This record gives sequence, C-alpha cells and structure tokens, in this order.
Amino acid sequence: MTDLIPSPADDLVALDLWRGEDVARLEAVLGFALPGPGKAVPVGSGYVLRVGPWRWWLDGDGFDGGAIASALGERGVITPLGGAWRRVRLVGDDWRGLLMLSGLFDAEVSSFGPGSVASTLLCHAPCCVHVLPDAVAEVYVPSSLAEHCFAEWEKAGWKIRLAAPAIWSA
Amino acid sequence: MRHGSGVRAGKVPFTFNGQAYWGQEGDTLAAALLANGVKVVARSFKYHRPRGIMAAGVEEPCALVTVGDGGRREPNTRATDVFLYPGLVATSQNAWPSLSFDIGAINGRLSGLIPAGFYYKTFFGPPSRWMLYERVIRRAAGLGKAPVEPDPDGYCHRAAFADVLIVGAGPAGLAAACVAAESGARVILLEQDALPGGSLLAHAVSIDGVPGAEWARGMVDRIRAAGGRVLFRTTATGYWDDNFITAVERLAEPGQVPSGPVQCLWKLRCERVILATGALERPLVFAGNDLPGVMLASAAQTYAARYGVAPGQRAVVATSHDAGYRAAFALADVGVAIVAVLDTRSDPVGPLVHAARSRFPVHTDARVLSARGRKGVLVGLEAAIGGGRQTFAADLLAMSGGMSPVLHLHRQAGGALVHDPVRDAYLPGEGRQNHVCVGAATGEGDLATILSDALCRVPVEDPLGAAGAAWPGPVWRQEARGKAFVDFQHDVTTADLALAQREGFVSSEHVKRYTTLGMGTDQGKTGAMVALAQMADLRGVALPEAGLTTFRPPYTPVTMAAFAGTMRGDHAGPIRRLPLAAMHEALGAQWVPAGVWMRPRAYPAPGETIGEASVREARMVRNRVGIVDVSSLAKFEIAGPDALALVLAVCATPVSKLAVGRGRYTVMLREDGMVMDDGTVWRVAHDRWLVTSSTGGAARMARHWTYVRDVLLDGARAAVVDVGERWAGIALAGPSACRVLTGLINAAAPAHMGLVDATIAGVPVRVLAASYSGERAFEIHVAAHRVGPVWQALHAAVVEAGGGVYGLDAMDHLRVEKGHVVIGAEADGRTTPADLGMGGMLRKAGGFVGWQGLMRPALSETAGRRHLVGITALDDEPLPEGAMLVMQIGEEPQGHVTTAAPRIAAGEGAWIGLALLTDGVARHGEIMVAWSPVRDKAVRVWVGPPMFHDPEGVRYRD
Repeated sequence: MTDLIPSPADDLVALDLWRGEDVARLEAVLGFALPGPGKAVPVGSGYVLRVGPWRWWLDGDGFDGGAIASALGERGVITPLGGAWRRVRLVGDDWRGLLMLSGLFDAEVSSFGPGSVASTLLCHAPCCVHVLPDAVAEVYVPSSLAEHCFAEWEKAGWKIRLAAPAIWSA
Repeated sequence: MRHGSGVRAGKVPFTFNGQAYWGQEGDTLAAALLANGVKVVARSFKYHRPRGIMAAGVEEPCALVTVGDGGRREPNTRATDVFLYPGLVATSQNAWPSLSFDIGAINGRLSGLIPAGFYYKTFFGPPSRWMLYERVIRRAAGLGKAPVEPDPDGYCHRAAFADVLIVGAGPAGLAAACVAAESGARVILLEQDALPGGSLLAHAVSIDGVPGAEWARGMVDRIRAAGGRVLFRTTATGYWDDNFITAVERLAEPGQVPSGPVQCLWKLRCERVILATGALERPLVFAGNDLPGVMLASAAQTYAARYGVAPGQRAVVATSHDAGYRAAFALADVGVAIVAVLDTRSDPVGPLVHAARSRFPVHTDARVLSARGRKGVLVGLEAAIGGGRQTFAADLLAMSGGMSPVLHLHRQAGGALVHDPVRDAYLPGEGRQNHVCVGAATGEGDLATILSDALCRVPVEDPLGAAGAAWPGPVWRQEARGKAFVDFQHDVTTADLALAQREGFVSSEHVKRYTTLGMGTDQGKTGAMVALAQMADLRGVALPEAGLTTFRPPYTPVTMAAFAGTMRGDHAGPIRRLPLAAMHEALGAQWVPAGVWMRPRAYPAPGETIGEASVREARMVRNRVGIVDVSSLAKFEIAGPDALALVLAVCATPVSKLAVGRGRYTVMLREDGMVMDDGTVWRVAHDRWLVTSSTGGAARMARHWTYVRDVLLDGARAAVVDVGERWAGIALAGPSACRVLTGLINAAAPAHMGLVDATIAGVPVRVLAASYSGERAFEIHVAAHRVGPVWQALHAAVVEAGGGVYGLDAMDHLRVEKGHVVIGAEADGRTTPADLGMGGMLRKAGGFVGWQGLMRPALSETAGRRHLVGITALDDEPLPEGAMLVMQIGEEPQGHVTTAAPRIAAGEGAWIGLALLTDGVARHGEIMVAWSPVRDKAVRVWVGPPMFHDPEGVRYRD
C-alpha cells in the first residue's frame, strides 16, 4: 500500500523563544516538552516539533494559544500558522524512497526514525518531515506548493487518497 | 552459437540501416554487428571517411549511430555502449545517400582546402561572404540529427548517501566495495557496464579458484548481502564539491520502450570516494589508422573473449607493451589467424612474450607504417621491421600504444596529476576531497597487486603470466605519407597538430580549440595523450610541459532530459497556486506567471482581448469598485520585546509613533542604500507588527529580516514569522469600496492607513486600509483555509455595486497612474529612495539598514542620477516598455521606460508611463523620444511628474 493522505494543518502554531532562553524552565511553565533539534514529541492528541534553532511548531487542537502566550510572557511569542501548511501522511513501505526521489537529504539513514524531524526541501519546496511510529511519516508542505508536490509524488507512483480519515490519530 | 564470458543463449533480432540481423543476449550493438560481418558503421565528421568499430566501451570514437525512432531517437549513440534488445533499430550517421556511397566523401579529396582551423579563416574578407560560408558549414556540421518529436519517456532524480562510494566494478572496485560493505559501511558501487568485472570479462584468469567473471558476480552477491547498493549501467558523470557525485543510471537502453523512467539521475553525497575507473588504451599513429578493421587491441580481445566474436579472419597485432599480446591469444581462441605480432620494442622479455613467441610470428623493433584499404576496409599493412619493410595481408589490425589511467573524475574533484617519467604518463596525485584512486587507474597493471592493495588477498592464476614491464609512453611519430589520426571523432590528424604549431597555436588550450582536438562526444579519451606527446615533441619540451586541458563533466554525454528529471512541461518549475485558484478559474481568469506564482492577469469577457479586459477592469475600479486577489504578497509578523527595534532597523520610514491599529507605507533598503523592497508596516499590538512587501521579493526579505535580527542586531528578541501563506489577501478598491465594506462588516470602515479586526460571512478578517490603486481601498486578510466564503461574499457585494473582479494588468495600470513603484521595474536595485522621489519619507535620524550607504558622497548628491519621472505619449500609440529615452534617435540613452500603461482616468494622452531619466526632476516639460530599435518603435513623450491621477490623495478619504 503506497498512499498519500493529505489533511489541513489548521491548528498549527509557531512558538518562538529567544536565543539563550532556559528551555527546561519554560517546559515546566508550559506544561509540555520542547524537544531538541530534529526531534518531535507527542503531546495529548498533537505534537510538538522542533523546526528551527529557536522555533517549535505546535500541531493539534489541544494547545491553548492564549494560555501559552500568558505563560511565555516576554520569553517568547506564538504566531498562528493555520492555512499556511498542508499535512500529508505517507503510508507505505517505501516512504523513505519517495523522499529520496524528491529531495536531497538522508531519509534512509537508520537514525532518522520515529520522533525525528527534518526541515528540508522536497520537490524544490520548503517542507518539514516528521517520522511517526509504525513506519509512517508526515510531511508538511506549503499550501501554495501542495498541488505541485502531490503531482510530483503521483508521478513517482504514490496514490493520493483524497478523503482524509474522519479521526486523525497519531 | 558464440561463447564468451558476457553472452547468453537467447537470440535477439535487430536492424541496422534497414537490414535485419540477429545477435545474442548480452551483446552490444557493436559486438553483434561484428559478428554479422558488418565492418563499416559510420562516416567521419569532416572527411566522411568510412569508419568501423575502434573500441569496445564508452571511449569509442568512431562507431556513432542513431538508435531508436520518433521521440525516442538517440543520435550519436556509441554502438559499443548500447546492449541489444529485441527490435532495436539502428542507423548510420553523416552519410548521404548511403553509408557505402556517401557524397560527402568528396570532402576527403578537398581536405587540403579544409584543414584544421579553416573555419576561422572564413571570417576573413567581407562579412557578406561569411553568410554564404555559414549556410554551407551549418548544413555540413554535426553528426546525428536530434529528434523533433517530444520525448515520451520519463526521467527521475534520486538522492542517496553513502559512507563509501566506489566508481567502477572491476577487480579493484569490487574488492574495495566488498571490504567496505562487510565492515559495516554504507556502500554504493557504480558500474557503467551491464556486468561486473571490468577487465576480467576479457581475461582468462582465475581468482580464488574460479574464472574471473564468476568471481566478479560472487563479489556483487557479497556486497549486496552486506547491505551495499550496486548499480549497473550507471555512469558517474560528474564529481562536484564536497564529495557530491552525479551519476546517470540507464533503466532502458537507447530507443527501448521502458517500463518506468528511462533514466535516473542519482545525486550522491559520500563520506569517501574510491575511484576504480581503470585505464583506456591508446592507439598507434600511422597512415590509415582509421580504416575499418583497425581497432584497439583490448577491444579485439574483448570481442573475442567476452562476446565470442571474431572481428576478422587474418589479424596483425601491433603493440608497444606486454598486455597487447593478450589480444593475439584471445583472437586465436576464436579462430582468427594471427599473421604477425609487431612489437615496437627491440628486446621485449617476459612470460607473455615468451608464450606468444611459441605460437605466433613475433617481430620486434617493428612499427606499422601504413594501413591499406580496399572498398573502405582494411586489406593489409606495411610495417618497418628492423631496418627493412614488410607487408602483411590482414583484415584486422589490433593496435595498442599503451594505457592511460582514467583520471577524469579525479581531476574534476580537484585531484593533482603526477607525471611518471617511466610510463611518460599522468598518474593520480593527491586527492582534495577525501577520495582515492585504486587499481589500473593508478597505473598498476598486475591483478594480484591490485587485489592485494584492496586488502583482498586471494590467489590469482593467469595462464599467460603477468605482464612484465610497465606501459610505455604514447607513440605518435608518423613515418609514412597519408592521414594519421590522433582524434578519430573529429578527424584531427598529426598534420593538423603540426599546422596549429606553425600558425602559432602552441598551448594545449589553443591547439584544442583550433583543431577541435578532444571536443567530440568522446572528449578525446583515446587520442588525447598521443596528441599531447606530439605537441610536446613539436615544441621540443617534455610531456608535462605541453600542458593539459581542463577535465570537465560530464564524463560521457548526458541527455538534457536526465537533468530535467520530472521538471518538464507544466512542471518545469514549481508552481505556487493561490488559495482561491479554483474560484478564479471559474470566473474565467487568464493566468500569468508572476515569479513562481500563477496569478490572474485579467478576466476577459467573451470576445474581449486581454488588453481590452484590463482597461475595462481598471476603469471599473476607478469609477465604481473591484476586488483583486493579492494573496501572494509577502507578509511577516514581527513580535517580541525587541520587535520595534527590528522594524526600525529594516524599515527606513518613521514607525515608532504608530499607534496600535495604524500603519504606513514603508521602504526597505540594502546596506548600500539602494531600495530593496517596499510595502506597508502595521502595528497590530504593542509588540507585534505586520509588514507586507512584494511578492517577488518574499524570499529575499525573509533572509533579510533574519540577517538583520541575528547579525546586525546580534540576536534581538523578536520572532520573524513568515505568514505569507497564512493570510490570504483580497484588495477591495474603488469609490464604492467603503460602502461595500461597511455593508459586509456591519461596522465603520477604518480610515486610510488604519486597521480593524472584523468578520465577513462569519469568518474573522483583518481589514487594512491601504491603497495601491489610488482609490479608497482596503486589503482584507483572511486565514487562507477560510478565505472561500469571504471571497464569495465580497464578490457578490461588488457585483451588486456595479463592479467585479480585476486582475494583475488592471492593477498595474492603476498604480502607474498613481506613480507607485514596483520592485524590479522602477526599483531595479540601482535606485535610492531619493531617486524615486521618496527621500522625504526617510527617518532623518537614520538608524536603518542602508542609512550609512546613503551618506556616501556619490549618493548624497542627486545631480547626475536617474530620477523617477512620468511620461505621456504625444503620439497616439502605446509606449514600448524598456525603450530608451533619447533626445534624438541614435543618441546615447539618458534613461529608459520602466513601465507603460493606457491612461485610465481622464487626462491628456492615451498612453502614459514611468521612467528613470538622468536629472529627471529638473527636466519636467521636456519632449523626448522613447526609442526601441529592437521593436522598431519611436514615440514622442512629454516628461512630467510621476503622478497622473489625484495628486492630493483626496480619493483615499471618505
């Protein structure tokens, strides 16, 4: 089975901290983990992904933006990104091979496993790859480039399953 | 039924020049043609001399054919580098009307008129004569003909990473790959042939008790079992920086219908690279050395041992070293009569020579003087032996002038070359990119030593014994009259090199370009060293002083489609779609690429041209109301305790006094003071700002914001979030815009340069009161995934108000009337704010990026610089964009037209434009000419201020 299952990432929020902030202390304040570089952690029904030197994405409807902003105070900011990205789940034995056709980063190395995150270029589009358990990966694609990326992946033999599942489970 | 290490039992039908033949599975086209007695396969480039098969691999210079038909036709395919498949269609090239009777052969008789460099001499004399020569030369130039039908096949790109990449699956490469893979490294092994083994496929040697070819297959199994990736029919084409290698994998043979992509371009990033690229044989130089029937000795050996093909009936082997003798044994094994072995050395010794003397007539101190042909093929030769001469009747001459290590990739990687005085050849020196050369590529010819060096210590049995002495240097000296070729593909002879020398073209770079030596598809793989030896002798210097030309990728020709991969046709580049693309399509939008975005250019009504539609749409906005999709604009949210400091650094206009809910136009400069971008800046909260800028500059501004924050402000506490795709944008503009908006949001519209949060159709929106068109206008931002209902509500409202949608062209007409600049047109990277009439907008206290650049004396004076002006056409015809501004036609330009548009609002002149004109602000009232010689247009224009509509800005206010 080699399927691409797209879905909107309407609840996506960017969380930015300042260079040098005490991340561990802020984790305690926020009540959830802020993973290290190239990593993601599940939080409730969503995920926290480290996508930049001092930027995290919070993906899921369980994150309370107002509460987070209050907790951060002057130590960081959050910015909603809903609508800017499409999330697509890669389900199949060769999702790593698909990424090697699209980009120039090492998706085949054994250390790129569950909980890994890579901000990279796929099909010339800035994307973010998140490896989930059970040999599944999710790719965040800019909304304006989603049609282009999906067309390239279909050419590679992957099938777009247009109807997203009713319940989006991790 | 032929037997060889590379052929199998099945029969394969193919055609050559319309004639049907049979080959065997595993044959190359060249092997199959030789097996069928076909000796002449092509005509040479310039002299149209009959040419046969010279080599057995990618170095083949002569046997270039066209394979396939229709869109799959591949011209200039080496017959030695295409493997048979049922139905293969091949045709010869560069011959008319036929291969056997070619009119072009007359060039051979006229060779005295067209020596090397004749092409350049056609430039002498009147230019009109060149136009005659050019027509003739162009028709005669080239070899094969490219297909005109679209290529129906697909090509892909794939990336891979490796701890160790090995190029070449000969014995050295296989050994290195196996050792690396079994030690746990991630290994990739590339081999351009269809089988592993390299030289083992033509050598009757045993390794570790099994025949060499079988040992090679076993090694591949071991490499794969250890997790290594082995790719056949894959050529490493280029060695780039940082151990980045490109390779092309043939998934189908030329002309063959593939089951998937026909080729794959591999992009390989490697920790370490091992180049086991082997060595190529050098030809000998003598008159007639291009006759069909003359071939490299290693090629003759390969055809005999690997393909079981006898390339002739009676053979002479001419060699300058031990390994050339192997050809005699291989040929004899397939029934070829060895008439003589001619060794240029006076006293060769060693087991190979000894074994040969017991079977064949071996002559020492023997050199071929000339080859003789009849009906275009070899029938015999004359040789100098000792002090005398002797002729031999033969239809095959297997020649070997030594070996040249294949060092192309090594040199592309920046590796050094070391001249070996014993071999008079270049060997690999130090590598620069964690790469190393092994095996025959280092000049090593002994198989046991090669394997031992690779830590593969296994017994090697060679029934003929190891080669004795090392390969000698290249032999070029010609001793008989007649054409002796050094570059077979481009018909370059020893006489041509001597001519170049006499005419003063001495350096290797000049000789190359003057004679076209090494400029064919074979890149001089066989003849380059021989030519270099002659050049050195002609100059009276040692070989290293003759110089070398640059080794450039690709190593073998690569089809352009392989570089494109899937980026073809509609997907030639990534295309960005607006969130409302489907709605625009339904409204009949005519699309135009704006950078990588597709944007609606206009919405023509039935029967309307785009020009008519854009004028109608612009008038609709001027007189009533319209909406346009501006979602592609760059948008950044700057938030944090230091957000204001960052905004002050990037934006050159005053901003600190902006209250929450207020914005203004702003401009961003480069550090040298030139305008980089423009847009609007809005204070959405105390420590949060929204900055918009141009669509085309979005990526540039993203980099700039983070550069200023992280470098110039040393990590200010301000997040820079690209919200360009988060917010879809719809501009609502026109005299009725305010009424439309208030009707939708059920609240007062914000004043000009104010913002409010509201809802439209139940969807939260942010309304920014900014105008690009010169009318009362609002930019409505909506989360992109919710923009649909908002657009529909706005569209319905503007239609009810007598308006509609407008596109990019109409937007451009409107902004020209208001004198608004566009990044890339008026702000072309060479203009300061003062040039564009914005000097008064800048913060007088400075402190913004570019402020110090503006302090430079050359920029603080405006005199002599090009200033933004408006121009009005005095003649009733369109202004040509890009036209020069001159006082009289033919004079030096004093400026140029940056944008032209039809006048929309009432006023003098049907056509207006913006322009950059030297000292423009002091020249209002002048009449000039907008002159475009390439479009044969000259329009008189009146120079004035860059503003044609509502100069007081009254229409922004309610």
